Amino acid sequence: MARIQIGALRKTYPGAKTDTLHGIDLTIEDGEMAVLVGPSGCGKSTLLRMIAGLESVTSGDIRIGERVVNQLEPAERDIAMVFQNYALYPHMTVRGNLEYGLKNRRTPRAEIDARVTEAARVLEIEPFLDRKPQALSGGQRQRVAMGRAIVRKPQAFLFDEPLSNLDARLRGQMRVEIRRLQRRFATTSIYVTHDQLEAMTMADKLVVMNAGRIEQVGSPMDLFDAPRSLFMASFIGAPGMNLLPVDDLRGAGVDLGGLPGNTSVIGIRPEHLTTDTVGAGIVLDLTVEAVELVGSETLVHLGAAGLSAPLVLRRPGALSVAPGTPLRVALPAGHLHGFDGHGLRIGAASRQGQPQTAAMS
Amino acid sequence: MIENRRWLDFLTHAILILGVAIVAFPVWVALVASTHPAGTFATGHMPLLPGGAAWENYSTVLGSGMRGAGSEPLWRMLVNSAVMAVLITVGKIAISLTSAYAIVWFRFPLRVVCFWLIFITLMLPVEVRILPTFKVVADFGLLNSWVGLTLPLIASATATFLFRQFFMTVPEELVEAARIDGAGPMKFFRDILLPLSRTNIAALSVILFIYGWVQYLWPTLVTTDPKFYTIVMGIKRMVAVAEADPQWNFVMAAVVLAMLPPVLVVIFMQRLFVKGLIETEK
Amino acid sequence: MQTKRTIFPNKGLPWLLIGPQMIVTAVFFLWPSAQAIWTSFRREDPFGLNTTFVGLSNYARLFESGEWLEAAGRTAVFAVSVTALSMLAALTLALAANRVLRGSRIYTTLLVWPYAVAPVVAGVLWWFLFNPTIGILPLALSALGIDWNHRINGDQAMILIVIAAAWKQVSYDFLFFLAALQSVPKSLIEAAAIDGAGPFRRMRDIVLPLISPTTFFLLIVNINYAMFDTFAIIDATTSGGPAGATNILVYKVYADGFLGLNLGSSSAQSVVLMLIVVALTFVQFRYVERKVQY
Repeated sequence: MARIQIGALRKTYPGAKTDTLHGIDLTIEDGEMAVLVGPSGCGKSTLLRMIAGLESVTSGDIRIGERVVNQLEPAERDIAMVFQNYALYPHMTVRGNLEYGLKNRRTPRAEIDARVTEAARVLEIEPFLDRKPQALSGGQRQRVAMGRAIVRKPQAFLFDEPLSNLDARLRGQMRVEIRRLQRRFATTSIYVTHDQLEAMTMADKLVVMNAGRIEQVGSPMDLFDAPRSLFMASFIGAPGMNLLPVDDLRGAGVDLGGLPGNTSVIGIRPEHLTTDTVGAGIVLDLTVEAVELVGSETLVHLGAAGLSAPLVLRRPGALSVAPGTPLRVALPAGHLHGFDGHGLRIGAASRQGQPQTAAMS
Repeated sequence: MIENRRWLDFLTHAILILGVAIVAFPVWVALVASTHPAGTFATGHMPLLPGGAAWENYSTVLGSGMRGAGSEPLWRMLVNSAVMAVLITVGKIAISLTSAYAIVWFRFPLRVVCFWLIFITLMLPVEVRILPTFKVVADFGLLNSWVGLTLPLIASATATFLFRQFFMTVPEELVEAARIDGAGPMKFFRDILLPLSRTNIAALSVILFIYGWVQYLWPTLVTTDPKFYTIVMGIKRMVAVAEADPQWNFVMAAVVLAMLPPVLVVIFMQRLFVKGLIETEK
Repeated sequence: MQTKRTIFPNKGLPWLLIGPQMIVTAVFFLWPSAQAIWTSFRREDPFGLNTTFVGLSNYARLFESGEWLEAAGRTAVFAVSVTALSMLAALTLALAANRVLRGSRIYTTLLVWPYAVAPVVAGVLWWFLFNPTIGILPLALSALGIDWNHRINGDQAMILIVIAAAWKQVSYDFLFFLAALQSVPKSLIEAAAIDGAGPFRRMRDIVLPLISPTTFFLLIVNINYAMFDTFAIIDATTSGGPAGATNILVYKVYADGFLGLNLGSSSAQSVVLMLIVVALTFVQFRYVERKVQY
């Protein structure tokens, strides 16, 4: 078990014009599940592969426990990795796959057997131990890949988009399963994904990356409630936060009340838009453009002259309103997020609103 | 096919049967000739139906060799051919596997130069550079030796390219998983890559075994000691004798014996054979 | 050149791995070839003690000598005949084998095994069949009024080696044609049938154009085969005779070098042949590139 500390870590590929990672500082506490998320090309996979030892370090430090591991071979770092395409050895049985790393470490036979038995029991893959990977389903292969990590009892698990090859239903199950196993073994973990639902639900510590930098770190709810920047506001949450440039609103003659003077953009989450306009601060007159009935909730897309992108309003249950209908909505002051001209949040990153309203579906 | 035309079906089968017959005819004649006593050929034309001297002919050529040809018994030539073919096959596969491995998974100075030098060997068939190659082997004192017989033939651009092609399709993550599991380059090669290459190695072995077995010019040049004669070059010697003294029964028995091993390999490993043949030309 | 994302960091190991191949390549391929090129610019004195640099004169003599040009012409006739005969036969058989629903595998097995027959053996088989005294084919031919003796008649000798060489190559061409035919999408054939094209029209308009890359590939491979791999067939049957009627270039290199001991000329011939192989290889790889772009 170990804490992972990353200091001023940079990565430049030979011949590349810009850095892939521009000095990353990050600490992952012992037993914590950190999820790295961000748009593709943000550097999250590179960071994970550098921690694994699969990519060289340009400058900076990676510590696992007390050791600086920059120069160590992957096998010497005492980590285990679960790959997106599982990377099971196709010519070995499931048992052979689980044993291989232990054998290479000259683990005693009895110990190998005990660990494999234990892992197979926990993962419920005992019936498949003597089969080859190609005889298994995607979910079963995923379990074997997990098993290969578990038997090693490493200081850290590294997950590289491990669920992206599974169908949606199985992904939901495996999410819970991986989190359960990680808690059970209390192993420090780093999990890379581009799926923000996975990120929100699995992380103790959510690390959002953008263009080779860390955009914001915190608990998922902190990041949801107080996004540090416009990028964070639009990236976390589905659909993302409604963002309205103040100039556009002023131009449309909307009464904005008492916003701080440096506010350039205001944001509000779809679930916080309300049609209850009595005594509300900012009120907009909009037209329904489209209605999406999801079953448990309804998303209403609203547009108006002078607004570049439509606003989205989220309502629990079904809402029957025809496109073209005019609709007056309010932006309750308690749920407003303000951003300045640099795209950064105005005001403390404190929690606003009620936790239940912010809960993800 | 789409429409049912009886005459076309008939024609199709007729073409195929005729083709098979033409392909098989020379071999049939050889087979028949190898079952007749020598006297049959002294008096007239070759027979088309089997005779009764098969046992006698085959046991003679296998056991004591052909009279007047100054040759070794055929069993010895067959063993030599097999040894040569196996050495060439194993040698080619071994050095091609390792060099493809070096080219794909390592960076070293002159890597691209090495690749092109191997490529150039494609353009230098032994028939073309026969005299200087012979001289090199003679200077090394390798005439009449297994090394001289096989080593100059084991450089192989096609096998190297085939393995390189295959290695390029091995998923990156498999290597990464192996590295995390503590496998160094040689361990990865032995534990993961070799087992994964099994089918390719088998398919290539079929092709290379045939290649080694049918070698003629090279063994003819580098061996003067009958101890090293292979069956393929032995036949040429026997033919020269038979011209003067018709022992066609023995020559044809030798021909049948020379064909048998590689032909059986092709027939019984047809799937691997076809795979090997088509993949090496990609 | 393409490589892997993950590479092993070792410095010495790759040399150890590629070393054997490089040594064999250098000692038995590159060095002798360089020797051939070197020798081709030199001439030995009558006692074989010294050589002097003579520039391109070995080449000049080659191209001026009627003998070599004749051999070149003969080689062209031989290569074209072998290629045409084996490819036509193979294509016919492959079209038929691709058409039969049942038994295609058995026919294939029965047609591919000559690939494994050594060229010498192929030569001996046909030489036996055509043997002027006891051969079955001369007997049949004499019934047609043809007097067969390839030991005297140069044209007949040429026909003999063409048949033997083509017989051995049919199986190879057949396999490649069959593989190409099997990869023609069935939907295209069906679309053509719906458009009213009968079996022969479909073959001409759809199938043959679609397999043309394979046809081109086989063309190069067959020319290569006929020029270089048929050495053993000739040595076993006609030894280049009668009167040089079957003395093709690759046989002449051997005959002039080993039997005639004319090193300068033999080397110059070797170099010219190498250039031909280089050209053929170049054409073949241009084709591979084009195929990739398809």
